[in-house]
Amino acid sequence: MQQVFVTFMLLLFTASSGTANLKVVASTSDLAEFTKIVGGNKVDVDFIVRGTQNPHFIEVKPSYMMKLKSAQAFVMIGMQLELWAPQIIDGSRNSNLLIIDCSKNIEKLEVPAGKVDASQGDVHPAGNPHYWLDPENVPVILSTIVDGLSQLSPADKNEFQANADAYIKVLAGKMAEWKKILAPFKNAKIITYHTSFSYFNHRFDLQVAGYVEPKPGIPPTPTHATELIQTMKQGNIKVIGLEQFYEDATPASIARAVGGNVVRLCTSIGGMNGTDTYINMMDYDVRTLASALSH
Amino acid sequence: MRASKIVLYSFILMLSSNGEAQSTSNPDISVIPRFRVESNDAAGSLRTPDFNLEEFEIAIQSYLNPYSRADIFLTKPGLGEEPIEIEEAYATFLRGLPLDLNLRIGKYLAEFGKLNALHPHAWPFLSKPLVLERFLGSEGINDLALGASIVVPLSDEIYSRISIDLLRGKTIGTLDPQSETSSGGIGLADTLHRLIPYALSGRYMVFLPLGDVADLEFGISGMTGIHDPYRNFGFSYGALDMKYKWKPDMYTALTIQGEALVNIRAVASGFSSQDISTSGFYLYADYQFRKIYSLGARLDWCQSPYSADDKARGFALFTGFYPVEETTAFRLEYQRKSLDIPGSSSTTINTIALQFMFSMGPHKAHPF
Repeated sequence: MQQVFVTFMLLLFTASSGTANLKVVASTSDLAEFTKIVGGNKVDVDFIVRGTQNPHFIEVKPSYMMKLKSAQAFVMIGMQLELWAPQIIDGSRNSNLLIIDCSKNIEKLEVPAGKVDASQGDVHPAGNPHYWLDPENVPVILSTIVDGLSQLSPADKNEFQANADAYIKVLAGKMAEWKKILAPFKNAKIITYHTSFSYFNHRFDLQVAGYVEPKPGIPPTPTHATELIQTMKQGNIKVIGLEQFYEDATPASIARAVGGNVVRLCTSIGGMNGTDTYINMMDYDVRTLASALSH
Repeated sequence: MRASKIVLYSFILMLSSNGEAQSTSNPDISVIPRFRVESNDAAGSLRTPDFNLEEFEIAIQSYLNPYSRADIFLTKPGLGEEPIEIEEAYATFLRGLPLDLNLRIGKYLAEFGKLNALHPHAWPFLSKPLVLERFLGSEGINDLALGASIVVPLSDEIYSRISIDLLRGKTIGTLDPQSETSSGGIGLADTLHRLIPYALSGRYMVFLPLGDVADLEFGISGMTGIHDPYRNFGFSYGALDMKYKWKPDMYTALTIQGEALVNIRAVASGFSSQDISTSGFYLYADYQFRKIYSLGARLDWCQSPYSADDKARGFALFTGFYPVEETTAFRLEYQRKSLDIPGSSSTTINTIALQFMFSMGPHKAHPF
C-alpha cells in the first residue's frame, strides 16, 4: 500500500513538474513569427497588430491588455513605433512582463540630427523603425529574441540558438536569390507612400526619390502631389510602392499623371494574400518591385 | 499680477524654452486650447455669436518611478479673470500591489459611466449630454478621491474591471433652479462644503472583441451619497453604458455609444421625506470617414434629479474635420433642446456652435 502511494506521489510530481510553454506576445505579426522560429515548441506566441493594420495607429483596447496579462514576455519593434505600448503594458498589470526590444542592436537609419519637432511630421526621434524589412537585420532580431527568451528559460538557450541559426541559413539562401532578382535595378528610383522601405531600399540598392506623404504621417496635399508629379517626370520615375494599409486614390492619380503605376507592397506578415510568412512576404515584395521596375 | 497668471505664464515660458526634444527625464507636457463661436435663440432670436476661449488645458504627465505615475491637468476657462483650476491631479500606483490592484489618489474624474472620465476635447460633440449635465453637473463627477480597480478576467480574451472610488463629495456641479436654461434643483455641492460627507461610486465594465474589426464595451455604474447634508437626505445613481466601435481600416470608424441613468433620492415632503425616482439617457452615433472627417448625431432625454415632471429632451447634429490627426480640429454642432419646467411654459432653444482646437505635445494612442 505504501509502495502504491509513493509511486502515485512520484507520478503526480513528475506530471505536475512538466514545464509549461513560455507565453509570449509580440507587437507585430513579423516579430511573432520570429519569436516562434526561435522558441519552437517551447513558446506559445500571440501578437497585437495584424498585418493589415498600420502599427503607428493602434487604439488601446482592453483586449490587448488581456493578452499581456498572462504573458511572460512582450517582444517589440521599439524606436517609438509602438506609442501605444506603454498604456497596454500598464493596463496589463503584469509586473513580471519581460520587455524584449528588438531594436537594441540594430544599425539604425535616418536618425534625426538636431531638434525634432512637429514641423517635421511624425518623425521618430530614435530613427526609422521599419528595420525588419531588411532581411540582413533578421539575424540581429533573432539574436535579441534568443537573449530574451533565454532569460526566461536558460535551460533552452542552446535550442533557441539552434533554431535561430537554422532559420538564418534558410534566409541567407533566399537573400542571395532576392539580391539576384533586384540586381538589374540597382539605383533605380521609386516613390513610396511612407518611409517604410528605407531599410529594404538600402539593402537592395534602390533609391527613394520621394514620398506621397509630404512629411511622415501627414496626409498628401494637392500641392505636394503636384511637386511629386514634377519630380517623377523629371527623373523618369514610374513606380509608386504603396504599403498595404494606405489609400490608393492619391497615389493612383499621381501615377496616371506620369504614365506610371502603383504597386501594393507588404510591410507585415499577413498584410496581403500570399504573405503568410516573412520569406513569402519578402518574396512577394522583391518580385513585385522587380516586375514593376522592368516595365 | 495674480498668482494664477504667474503660474500660467511660467508654464508657457517653460514650454517655450524647451528647445530640444523633451528628454526622458522630463514629464510629457501637452497644451490644448479650445476656442468656440456660439449663438443660440434662448432670448427669442439668434443672438450675436460669441467668440471665446472655451478652455485652455495644460497636461503634465509622467512616470514617477517604475511603480507609479502622475497626471496633472490644469485648465483655465475664458480669457478673463477666471482662475486657473486644477481639473485633475492624481497619482496612480500601477504595480507592486496585491491582486494587481491599481490605486489612484488625488483629484480626478471618476469612472462613472463611459463619458464622465473623458475630457471634453475628446468628445465628438460640443454639448454635454443633457442627462449628464443635469445629474452629474457641468464638471461631472470630479472630486478628491481615493480609488482602486482590479481586473477580473472572464476568459483569455474577455477583459472586465471593477473600479471603486471614495469621493470627498464636494465638487459635483450645482444646478441652478432659477436658470432659464436648466432646472431641477441643486446637486451635491449645494451647501456649505464642509458639511458634505463622502460619496461612493463604482463601475464594472466588460470588453468584448467582436472579431478583428469590431469591439463592444458595456458597463454598470453606481453612486451613492448624501445630497442634502442638513437633512441627511441620500441619493443613489445606477447607470448602464455601452460603446460599440467598428473600425475596418485606419480611415473609417463607426462608434455607437449610449448611457442610461436612474436616480433615486430622498426629498422633502411636508415634515418628512419621500423617495423620488427619475432617469435619463443619451445615445449617439459618430461616423469617421476618409480619416479626417466625421459626422454624427445624438439623442437626449432626461428628467431632473428632483422632479419627474421636469423634463429635457433634444438632439444634436455634429461634424468634425481633423486635417492632421488631432493636432488641429474643427467641430460644428447644431443642438435643439426643449425644456418642460413645471410651473412655466415649454422652452425650446436652438444652439449652433463652432469649435477650433489645437494640440501641442506628445500624441498618445487613443483609448477605446
